Amino acid sequence: MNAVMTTTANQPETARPKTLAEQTIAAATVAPASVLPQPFNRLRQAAQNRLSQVPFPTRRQERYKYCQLDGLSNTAFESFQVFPKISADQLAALTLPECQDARLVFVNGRYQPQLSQTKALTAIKGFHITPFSGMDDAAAEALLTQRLEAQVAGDDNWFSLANTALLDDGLHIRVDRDVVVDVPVQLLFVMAGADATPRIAAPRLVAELGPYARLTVMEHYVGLNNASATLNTMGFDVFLDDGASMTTILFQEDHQAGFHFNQRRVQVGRHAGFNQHTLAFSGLLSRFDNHVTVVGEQGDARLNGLLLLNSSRQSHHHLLIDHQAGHSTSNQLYKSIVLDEARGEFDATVKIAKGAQQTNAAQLNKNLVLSPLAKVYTRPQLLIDADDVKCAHGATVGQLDEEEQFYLTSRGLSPAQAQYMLIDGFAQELIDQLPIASLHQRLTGELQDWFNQRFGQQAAE
Amino acid sequence: MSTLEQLTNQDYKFGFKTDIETDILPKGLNETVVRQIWEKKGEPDFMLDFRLKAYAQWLKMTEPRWAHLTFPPIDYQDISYYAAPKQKVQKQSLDEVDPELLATFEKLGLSLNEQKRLSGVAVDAVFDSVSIATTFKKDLARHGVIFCSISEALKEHPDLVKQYLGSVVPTTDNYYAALNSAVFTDGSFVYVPKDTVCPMELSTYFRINTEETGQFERTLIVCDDRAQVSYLEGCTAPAFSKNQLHAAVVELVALEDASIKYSTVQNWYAGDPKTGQGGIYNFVTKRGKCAGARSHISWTQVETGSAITWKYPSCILQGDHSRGEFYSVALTNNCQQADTGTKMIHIGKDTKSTIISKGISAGKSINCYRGAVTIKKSAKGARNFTQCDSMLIGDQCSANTFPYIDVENDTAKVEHEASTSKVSEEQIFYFQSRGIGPEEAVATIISGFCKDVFRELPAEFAQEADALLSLKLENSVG
Repeated sequence: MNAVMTTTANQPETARPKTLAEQTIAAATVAPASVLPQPFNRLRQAAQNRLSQVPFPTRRQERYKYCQLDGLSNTAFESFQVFPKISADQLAALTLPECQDARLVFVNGRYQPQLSQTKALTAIKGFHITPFSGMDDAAAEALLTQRLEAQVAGDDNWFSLANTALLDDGLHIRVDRDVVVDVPVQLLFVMAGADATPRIAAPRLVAELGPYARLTVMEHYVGLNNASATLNTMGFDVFLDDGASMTTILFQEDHQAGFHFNQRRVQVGRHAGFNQHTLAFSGLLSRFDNHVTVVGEQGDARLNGLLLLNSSRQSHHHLLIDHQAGHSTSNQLYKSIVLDEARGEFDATVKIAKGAQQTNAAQLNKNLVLSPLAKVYTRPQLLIDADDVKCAHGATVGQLDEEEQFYLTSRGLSPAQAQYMLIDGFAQELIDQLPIASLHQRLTGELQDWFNQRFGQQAAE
Repeated sequence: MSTLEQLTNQDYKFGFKTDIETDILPKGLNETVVRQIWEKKGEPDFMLDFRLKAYAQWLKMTEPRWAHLTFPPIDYQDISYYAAPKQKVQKQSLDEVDPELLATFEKLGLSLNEQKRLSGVAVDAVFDSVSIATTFKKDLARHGVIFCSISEALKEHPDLVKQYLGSVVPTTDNYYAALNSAVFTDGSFVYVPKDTVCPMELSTYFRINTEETGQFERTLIVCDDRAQVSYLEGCTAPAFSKNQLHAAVVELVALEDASIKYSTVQNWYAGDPKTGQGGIYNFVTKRGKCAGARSHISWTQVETGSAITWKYPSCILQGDHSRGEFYSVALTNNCQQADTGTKMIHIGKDTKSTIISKGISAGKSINCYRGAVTIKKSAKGARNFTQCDSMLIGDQCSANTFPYIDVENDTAKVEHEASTSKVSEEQIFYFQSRGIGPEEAVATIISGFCKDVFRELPAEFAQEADALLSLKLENSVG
């Protein structure tokens, strides 16, 4: 008898004409993935069925309220059947110095073993990488039944379903118990332009860490030679067993016309830790849906984000930290610098289940709005069903502090230098926390280049 | 029984029902009913148009489903939309008022006589949709302040009402506002003329009587240039077994340099403590418009009652340099559900808003803060500060926070902070070790928690509110 009031996201819209993107993507899912073991086709089929029931995102849906989707909806996408050659030089330029011998390459959604460098990884006993295409039916069956299949039925995220429905050759990473992978692994996702047709890619990763295993990865999303729009529907599932710890750096360097929908589900076990650093600097429209479930006591989740948005970019960050076990902790720190007509969105929810006592959760979102037409939408939310918890959240939206600028200029800095120093200080809090040293330099340099370009060559060293 | 579990044992202290004959329309809603209400009220012609338009709009709308609330569907045809106490003659003094009615107020702790004599507060007592007694009207008239029921205002000041009614909450605003616009029967009207400081605090006590009557109050307060007014609203209702729908609309208009302070203490029947059956559904649209430059609207609310509260007192900050404030304490206990907060819409330059929200959930209740701060492109130099704290008492309740912050220009400064805490056994132990009983300890902690809001209330209300919270949380510890 009781009707539960929920968000309107799931309500079917009546007589809604299908958008071009929806039609073409749905059509693309029909082509079978010949390279995959048989069980994966079942998964794809399930996702296809579900996809037909879930409405395509529009701004009328609460969770897409701030996404301007017109550009996406009106594009006819085809799936990537072409995998252009990428030269060794191009790849080398994209590889971090720390990851020379630990680089896994995906081109247009498909894992490319011949382009990958695994020398440092094969040396580690207990670190396994298996492309989906290289699995036998039994292994595939196990992966599906234990990890992937259950989530499809209840999924109402259109892009995550599209990713599964379009599943191509994904990659399974497993780290055995007690194994510490001491080199950072660069996962290079290249969207390589082939022709003038807008294309959709569906890269998929599954990472399973055994008890007390450790792994650091850098997900690097780049565009190469793109002549038209691309749509990346990345899917990432992470399972951390008791005491396991994983750090991921999500570095987004999409090309100008890149749409990027990134969905990840993370399960954090007992005493396990999940750290994520999102660096969103580029692309046309990007959207990150992070769903972290802390299932074990004393599990810990830390999600940081640095957004630097200009022109008419949109970057939408949706986080759900679901504390199902007590004594767990989570921390979110997202900062954005928004200029021109860009829009940044932070929509984060901390959920604390009944009985998850002694949980400690914090959310903080800070925004610098530096142009009259820039927009910031922030929604730090708490859903608390347990009484003995500590939760705090905060959000600020503002500009560079005039007093601080005055102070610096009174000490002899030029106005531009003062501004740069403040912006740099704002960003460094997050850059400092990155566990890969070469990234510090690179990001600081990028920030400086960007500032110089924008404000003339005024920012001093 | 543990300290905190006993919270659920507090009964509704105002659960009684006065038997007074009422003139009541048959259940159901259609165009004829809307016309009948208009006829019965003897309203001017433009009101028929207003009501019918609202009704037509309401038919096209659907019930909002986005709030974090659970309740069975409401049968809008199972409600009688008009009930008036059968007292046709206008009263000049309290002596002429039905003694039984006066006794009702007496039980609520509100004696019109006493109030009149002691506190200097004019009271427009609304008993089931029709104003019974209005005291101090003449005093106010001397200052040019109009304070009367809205039906009276429609008869005597139709132009004023026509100008402002629906100007802040349009008939099309939302489902419940549309319903209210179509069928509202009474409420209060205040007009403070230019350069006038209203000489006393105005107050209305609402009371829901007559079983199965939805109450659709309509309040309109207009403060002209450089005028000031403080308005108090308080509610209690008898215990009934069937859910009662209350869909009120409150509109505030502040012109240049005007200041309106609107305070509410709400303690309606929350339903059966065990099952939540029978409580009031409080679906209210409250909105103020700072239309003039440097105008100021302040909402203060203490929400302790109702089975469901769905209420977002908002400010449209249109005039340059205008200010909006929202101070709220929302307490939910047993099976109560509250989804409440505010909207601050910054349009004018250098507009400022402050939001202080304190949520206390106990028992099996759900308490949500839902707020929006919107800074439009035109709101150069806008400023907002928001603080929303939640306190949980017991491990069966929920506290949720949904703040929306939309900033669309680069000169705005917005700050939002929130925290969640609990009354711990340790704190209670500390108090007890100092010889202070557990109940008093909880009352003290809660009182401290809500201090920021209570000090915004008019003095006599602040005391009442403090007492009310302690009363509501009685037996919560032991």
